[in-house]
Amino acid sequence: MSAAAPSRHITWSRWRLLAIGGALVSLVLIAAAFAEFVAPFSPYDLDVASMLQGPSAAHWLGTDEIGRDVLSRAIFAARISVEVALVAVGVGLLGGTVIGIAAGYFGGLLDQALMRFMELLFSFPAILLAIILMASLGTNILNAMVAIGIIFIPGFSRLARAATNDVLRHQYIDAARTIGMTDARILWREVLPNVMTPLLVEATVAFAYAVLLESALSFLGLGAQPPEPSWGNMLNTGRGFMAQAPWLSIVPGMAMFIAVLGFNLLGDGLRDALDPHLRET
Amino acid sequence: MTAALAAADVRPHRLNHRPATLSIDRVSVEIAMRRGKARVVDDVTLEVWPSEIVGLIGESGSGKTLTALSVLGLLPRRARIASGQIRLNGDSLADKSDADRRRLRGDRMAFIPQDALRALNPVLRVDRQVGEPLKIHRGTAWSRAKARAVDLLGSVHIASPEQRAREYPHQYSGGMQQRAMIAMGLALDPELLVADEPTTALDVTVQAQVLRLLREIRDTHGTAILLITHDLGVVATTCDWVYVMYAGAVLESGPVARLFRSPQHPYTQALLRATPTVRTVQAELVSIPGQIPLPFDLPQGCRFADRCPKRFARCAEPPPLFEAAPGHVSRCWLAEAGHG
Amino acid sequence: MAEPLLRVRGLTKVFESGWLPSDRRRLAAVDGVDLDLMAGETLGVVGESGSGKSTLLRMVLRLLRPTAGSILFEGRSLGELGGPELRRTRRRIQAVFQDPASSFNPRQKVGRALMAPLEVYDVGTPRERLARVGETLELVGLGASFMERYPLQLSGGQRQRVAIARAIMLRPALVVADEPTSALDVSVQAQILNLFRQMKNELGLTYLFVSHNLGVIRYVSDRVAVMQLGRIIETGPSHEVFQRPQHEYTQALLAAVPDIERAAG
Repeated sequence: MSAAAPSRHITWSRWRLLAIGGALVSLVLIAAAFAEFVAPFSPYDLDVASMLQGPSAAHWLGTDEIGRDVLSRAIFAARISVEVALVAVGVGLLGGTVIGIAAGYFGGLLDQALMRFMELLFSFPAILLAIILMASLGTNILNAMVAIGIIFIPGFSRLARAATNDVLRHQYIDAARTIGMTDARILWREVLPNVMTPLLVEATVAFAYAVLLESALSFLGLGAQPPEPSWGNMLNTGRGFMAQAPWLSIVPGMAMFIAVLGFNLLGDGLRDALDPHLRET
Repeated sequence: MTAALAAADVRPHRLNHRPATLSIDRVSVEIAMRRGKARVVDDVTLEVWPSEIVGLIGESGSGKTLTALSVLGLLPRRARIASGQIRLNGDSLADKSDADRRRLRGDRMAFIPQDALRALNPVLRVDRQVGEPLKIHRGTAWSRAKARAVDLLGSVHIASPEQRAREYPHQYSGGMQQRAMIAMGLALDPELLVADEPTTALDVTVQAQVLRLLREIRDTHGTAILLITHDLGVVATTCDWVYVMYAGAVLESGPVARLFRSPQHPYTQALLRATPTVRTVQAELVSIPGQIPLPFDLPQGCRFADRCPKRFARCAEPPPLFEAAPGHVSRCWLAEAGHG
Repeated sequence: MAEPLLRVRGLTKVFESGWLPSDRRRLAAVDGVDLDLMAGETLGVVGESGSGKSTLLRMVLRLLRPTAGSILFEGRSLGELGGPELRRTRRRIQAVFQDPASSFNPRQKVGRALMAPLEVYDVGTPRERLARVGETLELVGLGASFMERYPLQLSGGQRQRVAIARAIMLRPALVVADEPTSALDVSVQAQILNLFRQMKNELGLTYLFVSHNLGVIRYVSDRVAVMQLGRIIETGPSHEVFQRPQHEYTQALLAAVPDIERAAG
């Protein structure tokens, strides 16, 4: 009864999340896309004269154990991380959405079969599953992408299924059926647009997680292969020089922190920006 | 229906010089919004006396629920009482701390919400919940509180209360859940019951039982009951006195029989003509054109003027309440002496 | 006597619950219902929750498959139709649902929602469709400018007008209405009920109108069917049923209605 104001405010703090998240993510994406132009040095060039040097005017974030510029390596590593995350999230989002919507919409035996299989997949520890997949597919970066993507499928599919079930409760689905729309049309026009919001939000979180997973795999030597730089293998190298050259660990660590925080904030911001219920007059 | 009332049309209690159980005196409630403050309840004055059911009726956006919540001290966070006084048997509620007001709720006044199932805890047995006010406010031992709960359930006509008391809320039908809520409300024999749309979710036959129960409580306990509703029929069959709210203000109030027999305000008249009845066939329901104005762009003068079929020049000024008959007032220039 | 537009015979819907045979329960939500609805008539179906009135309506709309019985529309059995014939029939039965807030996709503007029925049946060119949507919005008292609005930007009454527009877009023979005013305020309810009447007169519609509100049913219906526990326990011309209810349950129902005329005396 409340003249409870149609909640016209997407509060400013929410827009702020979207802005900060967007800025951090842009930073990472720009680094990834334009690494050649942004990075001061090549990530592979050795400067044997200055190994394990701390931050200086020449090397802003120092050099590693064989004299490569750490800042440049971190920037090029962003490319690997973003590529892996993009493909992995793509695989997970697409696979999970198709499976989840099909299970939710058609229900019955198909639902049972698909969701039991997803639970099976879900019950493996993510890293272990990735390692098994990599072991059977061979260790290279493409396989890392696909392996991480497959890990994401159960999460996305559960979310898509729950969102689909929620949409199906609305009378506009009954209305569409009464009009005589085919299932394909209902799925495309009525269901998909209304399940996308939670999936996109989840995708940003998955993006952050993919960055971490890729780093973890690289750290274990299963992802990007040296000399190709990745935050994970940089961190692995840095581990050995924690005392003499802490920046070797701090720099990739901070880069991951920025990327993960950025995607998470972006996700929270998107959730509110995409909610049609906040678009009232 | 309460013949005593139809005879005099004036509340006999007033003659006794007793204070009203509930007195809402020129209360305004404001909600903080981005565009500034919106006055969603504006200068509302309302009284509920012992042994009477007072209806507060309005459509969505009328402010009726916020008025009730302000009595209970349960306003949403962004809303606050901007001015006015609320008294329970003479005690000002505004002067009380939150803790004191919490002590009042369930003790001297009880709240019956619309959705009983959601108000009941699904994992606790009914006797425990109905007896809880005794435990909280009086420190009664659980064994005695539960025994009392059985009596209370019996008094709201729940059959075989001893067994039913040991059940969980979901084992109750909708009507029984609402009666259990009423039993809980009665646990401490409160002076005031505030019921917010208590029968809206119920089927008509069940609604009739719950309304009958409220009348019975009024008559046997002498409780003062404030009944918030959107249903004119509920007011007509259950209430002794009615306040009609629209866009945050009371537009008309008076004894139910009189107000339904000769409604003074064009809004009340329109509402009555817009309500389909089962007893006669209406050729055409008269609908009210347009929408309720939003609280931040209320008309300058009478709030109903934009939609009023009887609008005239004077309506540009805000009308005061005019007395059409003893106790029967209308916030309309047409009710000014001479227009009657 | 002419053929009824809608003829329902022995319609039954049984819901089963429970996995194990031992705790399997069968509930007949609709239990052997017979109905005849003549063209141009409004049949009001009234009942309390659990009476089966909504299940009945969902079967007529083919949103639920009957367990037994038949539904004949214009002489043809809905259950036996398939493919293009089913589509042709379906086109002639449209619906207005209860909750205006949930009956529109929140991401589609009103124009797009109203375009959908025309697209599904490939009616006219895009330009003609747009014109038709505009006309229909005018017809329900809203105006073509509403095409650009999102459902959430409308009031409950406006949304229900759009829902009526969607239902009449394809010029159906039968409109099924499921509690179309129960979420609305009284003053708005009157507007919508009058719009239903007006549309019936202008477009020659037939209504199957379901409600728990007896006053509403009396106002809109020519004939009334009272449902209880899945069965129709009384049916007849509206004024007969309301003035001389035969069945005990109908009498109890009518006695329970809190009516404004009681106070006015």
